[in-house]
Amino acid sequence: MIVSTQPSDNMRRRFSLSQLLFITHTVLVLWLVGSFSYTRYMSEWSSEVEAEVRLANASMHSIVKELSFAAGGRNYNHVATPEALNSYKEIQNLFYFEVDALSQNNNDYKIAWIKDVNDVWNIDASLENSDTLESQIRTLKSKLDTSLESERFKINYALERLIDKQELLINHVRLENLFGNIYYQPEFGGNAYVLNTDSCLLYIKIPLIGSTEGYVWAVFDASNLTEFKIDTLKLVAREALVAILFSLALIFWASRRIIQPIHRLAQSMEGDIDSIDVESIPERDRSDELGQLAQRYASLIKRIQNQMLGLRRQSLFDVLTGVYSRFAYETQAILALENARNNERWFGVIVIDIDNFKAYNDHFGHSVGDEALQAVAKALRASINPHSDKVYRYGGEEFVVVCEKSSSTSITMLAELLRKNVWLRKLPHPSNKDLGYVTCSVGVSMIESTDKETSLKALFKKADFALYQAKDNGRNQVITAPATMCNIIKSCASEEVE
Amino acid sequence: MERPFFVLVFGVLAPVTGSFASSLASYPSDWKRWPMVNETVNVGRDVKLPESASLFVQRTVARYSWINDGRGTAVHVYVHPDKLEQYKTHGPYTDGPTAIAIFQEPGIMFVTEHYAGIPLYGTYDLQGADISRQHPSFEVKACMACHEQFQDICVNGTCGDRVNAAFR
Repeated sequence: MIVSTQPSDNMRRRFSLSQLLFITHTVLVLWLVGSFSYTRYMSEWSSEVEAEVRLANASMHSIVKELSFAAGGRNYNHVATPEALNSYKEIQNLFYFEVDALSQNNNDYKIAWIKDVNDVWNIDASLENSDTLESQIRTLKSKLDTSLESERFKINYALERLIDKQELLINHVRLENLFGNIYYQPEFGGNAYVLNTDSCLLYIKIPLIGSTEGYVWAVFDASNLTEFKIDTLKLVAREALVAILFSLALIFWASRRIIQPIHRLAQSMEGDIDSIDVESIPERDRSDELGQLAQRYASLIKRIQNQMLGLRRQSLFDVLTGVYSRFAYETQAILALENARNNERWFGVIVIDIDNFKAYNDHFGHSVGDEALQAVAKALRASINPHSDKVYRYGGEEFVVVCEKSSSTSITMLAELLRKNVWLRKLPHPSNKDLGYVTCSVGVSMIESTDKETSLKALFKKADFALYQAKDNGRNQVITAPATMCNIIKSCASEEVE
Repeated sequence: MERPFFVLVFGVLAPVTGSFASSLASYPSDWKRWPMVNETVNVGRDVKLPESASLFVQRTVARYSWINDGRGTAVHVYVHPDKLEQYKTHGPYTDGPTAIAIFQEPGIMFVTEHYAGIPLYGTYDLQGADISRQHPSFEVKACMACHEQFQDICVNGTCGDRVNAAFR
């Protein structure tokens, strides 16, 4: 399976940890505040709308009963009495309503009321009926001239009724033409209300009560809802802004509080492990996770330092012989040279090599060879002044003694003592020609404190050269590098320069 | 007669504006020869109507339950013999007396007559004396207001309601 880590890598490369913390938390806060604000706004809004709908429904219920009764009996007068009109007008924010019903005899019953004129009209009123009435009126009028006196009061009454009917009909048609097209019934679907926020109108639909089939749909002024919406939006936005600003400040503070200690810890890790002062590691006193991290870190550094000290000790000493190692020679001999110069004393390098040691190993085996090496090292160590001299195992069967003496004679004497003490060990060495015991050849080189030019390397080469002379002269002897070797010394010095 | 559960209520026409102070419909002196088409009751004032009772029933009971000292009375409905077929269809009616409703106790006659298709109303005692001024519920305007309001029930001045069903 191939998992692409490119985006996160890019993120890490692009932003620092503190920036990443800040950005991610800011995004989180924005999302949370946005979500909460939206939820709160929607909750407030829906509650307010529902309250407004409840109020509208409750106010309409006071007239729905009468409207239902009227619709059941197709009563147009009952819904248009002054009391009824007043009751409509008193309903707060009611602009308009329509009743769409079937009477008990299944006749259509459609009336409307509008606040502007506070009047009710029959929506289905048609001028065709007016024409019929007009015809009846004309007939009656013609009868009036020819009728008997006893009948005239009946004709007059009938005429008045017809004229009233006609006027009422015309008024209904006029009202329908004037106000019938102002409000349209919206698509309620399964809902009991529709809110049109653009026109600030609330439409509600209430079924008629009793056995009357039909419903009332009414239009209410919803401008207060619009005001509420704007006020709520402002309030929620203001609160969201405060929350975001506060959160940003908090995130900034928290990021700094987390990152700065880490940064200080990182700074304390700079440089050599040995140079780190465990006691001064920052944040150790904290009791939180960062404090734990700092404490763990300090503990780790302490362990590493202890382990390094152990390793360093191990590398300073030769494991087999117990004398100083070649690594110790490389690091300490130069210091001894400088020390001798500073103390204005002679400095000597004595190179010691066990004679025919390969043959010794061949004869006795490496195990006995190792024991011989240990014995020789012991003899050498016993010969030196541990305060001013040090024995190093340079490699194989070769040892180096670095010494600091008050005179050249002391150095020569020390070399001779070293050789002699090895001989005196009387370690059998049948392959060492005529000698019969383990012996060593010694090469010596030395300088005065006034010699500030000769290097340790040059001194070693001189001593090594003298050692080979001792080997050539028959072994088991000390050869001090003569002054005539200055050319060699210079050559060594020039090599060193190179 | 069909529609036995129908009660027909007839009012006496009275002037709305005051110009028709007495009955407009004439007293039908031959009413005893008219066929009775329905017999029902005018309930007393102690009767409690169900809430689901129609507005028409509520209004009618409220208006006429005082008659006979609120004890209720039988109501007989008669239709002019020549207008029986017109009555079955609730009109249209030809000119002349159409129907009467007689409250047996204490003997009140509500008359409906038609002229040019317009219903005229009147209230008499059984001897033919105009009593439309004796009580507000006998006035022509009361009859007219009631008949004209309930267009689903009252068609062309004669009306029926399922009042019997409400009490059944």
